[in-house]
Amino acid sequence: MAEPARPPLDAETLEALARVAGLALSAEEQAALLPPAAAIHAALGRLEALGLADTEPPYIFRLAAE
Amino acid sequence: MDAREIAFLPVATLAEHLRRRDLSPVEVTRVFLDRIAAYDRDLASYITVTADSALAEAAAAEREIAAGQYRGPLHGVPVSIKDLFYTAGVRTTAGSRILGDFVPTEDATVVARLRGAGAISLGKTNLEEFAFGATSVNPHYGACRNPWDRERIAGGSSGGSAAALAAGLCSVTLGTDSGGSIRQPAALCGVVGLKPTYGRVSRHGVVPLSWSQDHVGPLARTVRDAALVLAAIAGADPRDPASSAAPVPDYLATLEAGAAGLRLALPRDFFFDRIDPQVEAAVRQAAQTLVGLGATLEEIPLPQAAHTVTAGAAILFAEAAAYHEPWLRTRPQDYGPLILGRLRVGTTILATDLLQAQRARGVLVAQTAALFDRFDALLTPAVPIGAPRQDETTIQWPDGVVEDIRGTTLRYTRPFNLLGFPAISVPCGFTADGLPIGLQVVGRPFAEATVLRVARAYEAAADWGARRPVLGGGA
Repeated sequence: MAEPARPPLDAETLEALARVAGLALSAEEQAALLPPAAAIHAALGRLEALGLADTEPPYIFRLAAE
Repeated sequence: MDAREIAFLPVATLAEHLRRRDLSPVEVTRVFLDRIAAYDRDLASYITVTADSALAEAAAAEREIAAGQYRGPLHGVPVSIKDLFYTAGVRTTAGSRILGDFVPTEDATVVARLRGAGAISLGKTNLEEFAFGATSVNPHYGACRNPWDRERIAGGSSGGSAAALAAGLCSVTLGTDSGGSIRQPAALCGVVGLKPTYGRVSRHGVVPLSWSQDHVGPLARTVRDAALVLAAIAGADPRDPASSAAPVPDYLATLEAGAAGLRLALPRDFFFDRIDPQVEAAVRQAAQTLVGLGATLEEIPLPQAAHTVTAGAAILFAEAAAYHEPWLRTRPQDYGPLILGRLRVGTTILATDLLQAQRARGVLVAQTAALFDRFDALLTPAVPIGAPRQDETTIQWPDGVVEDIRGTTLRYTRPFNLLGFPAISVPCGFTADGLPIGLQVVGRPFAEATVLRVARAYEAAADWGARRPVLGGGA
């Protein structure tokens, strides 16, 4: 069975994300933000096609030997 | 030699005149300062011109050279510096109102290295606000114009650097590249732009846009000039946590080795989708020129390229939003509207998505690196179109797709910021409207010498560098 598709980013979710980020946006600003934010969210949902199951992210964190 | 001729000399040639003392650093610096005064009101390529300190540095260089203390090919050469690099005692605005009064107390590592090589700083060049964009139509310091057609953009974010160089307002210049910001303006302004491997050149003292995708490199009149500057600025820096300890090779040693025997690849997909046919024809002709010089060429699939743009964008937007987060909440009114919107998009990237993008990065680096088992370099267009008009915000393609200018003009350069591989843009022709076209050459990590070699072989065979923009008054 195919995996359920990621839902598109909607205005309500975007408003919640912006609020969590501490942004005070007008209705017009939120409306302007939705298309580019939704586009990048949709594209990110397609990265899974690369087959990431066995992949760790590259780490910034590393320790030097004493 | 007249002033215009001096202004357009490659560094390698100018350096010989300075070393032999048939030109003096003060004389050459005055040429550039006079040209900036004459032409930059229109071009807006500089934010800050440091005329007095430039002349003082030139006088000091002149004394040193006269005393036999010649430091090398950048000694006495006037350079410009993107206003994203810290310069001790000289304000560093990052093209922003927020840092409009910021005066660093130290030089960025690369600025210090250029000064150590004897270069003279003419000033700080215009850019996209905080380097987050592709046009250099700066809302605070003026719209930088393309010297080839002043109704068009110079590109960005290092647009001021590219425009100043193309207009003969500096000999060579420093830029930064987080999605194409050296290569794209270089292509649109008809100069050479080199983004070295991530970690090859220090980022210390550079206002960040995307910590893991920011690269520092030269924009230059010729490939040799780019190699000369890279040699001066490359190498380990303990103050940059991403800096590599890999030894710096002699970039000039193989520069003239030609293209014979090199294995080149031309990606079939992604890099020729939605492209001006004139640009495609010029790039394919450039590839054939290299074949004529003895290289082999194979067209290959590169299906992962589109994913590099997605992952790169997510990482860049999130890293930029993280850096700007305090100002986003306290000083949103001080940002221009375009960058403010982009930074706000960055705040909506989920932590899980950022990690998925990082995981994808690992896969994409491995997939692309494997190509270099079979090839020495990839060839692509640098930018799919000639420089857009200042008032254009979108492009409509024949298939009906509408793409914004930033997305269009950075589409072919962004993959190599995510991957970190070295890439150069070298002029490869002009559109029917007289707008420059760039060929992008990409190499395996730390193979700058190969990238430079391919670009130089093409440059020597094609010789597009003889054309210069007309600024008015015969300049």
